[in-house]
Amino acid sequence: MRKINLLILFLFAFLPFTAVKPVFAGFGVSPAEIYHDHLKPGSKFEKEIVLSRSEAEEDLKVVIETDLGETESWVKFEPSKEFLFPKGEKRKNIKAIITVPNNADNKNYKGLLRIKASSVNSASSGVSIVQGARMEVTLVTTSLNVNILNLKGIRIPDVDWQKPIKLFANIENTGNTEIAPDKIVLEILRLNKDPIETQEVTELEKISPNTTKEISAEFKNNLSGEEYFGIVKIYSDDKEMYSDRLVFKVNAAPEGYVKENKSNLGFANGIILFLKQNKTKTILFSLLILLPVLIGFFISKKSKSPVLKKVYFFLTFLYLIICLVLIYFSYQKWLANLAKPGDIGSVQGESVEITPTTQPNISVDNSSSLVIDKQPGYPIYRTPDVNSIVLYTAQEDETFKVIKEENGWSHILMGNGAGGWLPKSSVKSSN
Amino acid sequence: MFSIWCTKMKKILLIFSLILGICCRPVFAEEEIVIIDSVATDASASYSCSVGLKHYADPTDENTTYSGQTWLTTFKASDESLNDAQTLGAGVIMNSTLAMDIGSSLAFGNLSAGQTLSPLSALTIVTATGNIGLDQTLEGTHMYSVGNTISVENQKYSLAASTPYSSGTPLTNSATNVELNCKKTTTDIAETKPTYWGISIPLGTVAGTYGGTNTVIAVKGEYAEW
Repeated sequence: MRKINLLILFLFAFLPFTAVKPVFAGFGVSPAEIYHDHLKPGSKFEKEIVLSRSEAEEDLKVVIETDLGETESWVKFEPSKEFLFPKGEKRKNIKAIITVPNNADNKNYKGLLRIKASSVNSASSGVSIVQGARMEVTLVTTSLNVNILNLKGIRIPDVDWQKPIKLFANIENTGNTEIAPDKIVLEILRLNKDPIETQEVTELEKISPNTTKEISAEFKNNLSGEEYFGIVKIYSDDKEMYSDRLVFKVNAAPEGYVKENKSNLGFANGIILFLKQNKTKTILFSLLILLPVLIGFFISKKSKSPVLKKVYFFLTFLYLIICLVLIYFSYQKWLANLAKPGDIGSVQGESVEITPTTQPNISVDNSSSLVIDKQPGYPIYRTPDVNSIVLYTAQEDETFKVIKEENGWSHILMGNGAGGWLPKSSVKSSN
Repeated sequence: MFSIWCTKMKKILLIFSLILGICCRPVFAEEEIVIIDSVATDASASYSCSVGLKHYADPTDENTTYSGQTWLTTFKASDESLNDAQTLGAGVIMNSTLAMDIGSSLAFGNLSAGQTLSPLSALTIVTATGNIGLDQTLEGTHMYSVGNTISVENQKYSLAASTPYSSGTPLTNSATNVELNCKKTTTDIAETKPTYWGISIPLGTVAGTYGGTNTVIAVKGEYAEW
């Protein structure tokens, strides 16, 4: 009887394993390992881990199993070691936060993370498959200082006229000491690649180890409103760590700062431009003139003595003349600055420093221009003195606008907007 | 975002791409965007370009084939007289992505007590959906059905087709490394590698629907094997 029962049981004992439901499609982690080979005891290191999946049709339960040996207590996870990968999300960022104890021995530590993902509604029958990824963890502690900066990105936003040029560098410190780049050098060129000037900034913000920070450097801006190339060089540990060429734009000067020079300005236009560019002085002059003059005339009118009346009137008139003379001298001083050698800037409100030996693209020509004699190389000096700095060596057929002539020298305007001095004997009229 | 300048812009062909390293080796993930601009008067123009990276773009982080190199963005501008290529910005380190897809379920079918699935023929197929080569670890649980159990060791696996059940490796409840050596995917057709499974149902096993869990964990393969 027992044998018959066993036979019946055997005949009906079909065991279904077919009801297997694939839990979900692809699953992955990035990066594939956690690696840091110069952690200092007492330091902290955060590593972002991106979990991804190809389908997001259901909630997943994610469990991180750790096998980290001595470093088990060093590692924490955000949000935690167990969390939900919600339906609808294909990517989820988590963070491993590693805090190295102050008393950690300097050596290599190795361990593993197993990140398992399973469906919240897993199949109740058949063989379900749980997917996952195993990350190796390698941590090396050292007491040596390691300085490593990596540039992630760099930008120079457009800048307003005469406002400082701001350069932003996004830098990652993957070393183990708080450091800043040694210096950032900015070489400014015109779009035709003629160099204009080179500036550098050495006082830069420090970046903590294992962090990324956008630091900024400010450079003085004496440029006119146009686009420029900026060759940026960043130095760290006395070496050039990065070099690139960017473009940036200096916005046009405000209305009123017209591109004129002294020779083009009539007296009336000059006075108007002077008053427009010196609004504070204009208001002050107005008050200084009008108030005393009105008071003077008022007193002279009210005075009963004809002699005193005349004296007050004369003094008021004299005061008015003195004020007008002062305004005239102030105007002349402003005008003189327009034609200051090496600086056409005051015309446009700029003062471009010209680096010697540059090769500006000389633009030209109008009825009041001069043309260089056909001889090879003519130095254009910063001041009317052959011993002063040579701003540029002009070549044949280059023409320049003349600002003024003085003691055998021609004060000329170069195409890059800067002024310079040429011996009068080197030039001839293009008329 | 980048800008181009010329004295007078004509019709210019722009090709924007990503290149791995300075050697300009053929890149699996290169993608190009072509812009034709017909503005005739401007001296400069700015463009924003994006390049969609393939998921199998070569990684350059630690312990990968191209460690220490970076991905560089480049563009090339050309017209009838100009033909200029330039690298833009800082290089980008590409992280490795450890990812896989199990393309099929583990289906043993209906079996009776005392029956053995031999040779091993149930399949799991690992597909490398990241940018590195893969090994795997395997572990499982016992299978249960209303108080009855089939031991996990009754499942066996092998990487070779037609392996007799007796030659398979028993599954255990602790993770075991398996040198799968699934190659890194390098084209739009993903690399795959099968694992063959079988099971033996002990005599006297009570009929029922048994359920258990096998865990397949992707492991970064040795990069010499990618």
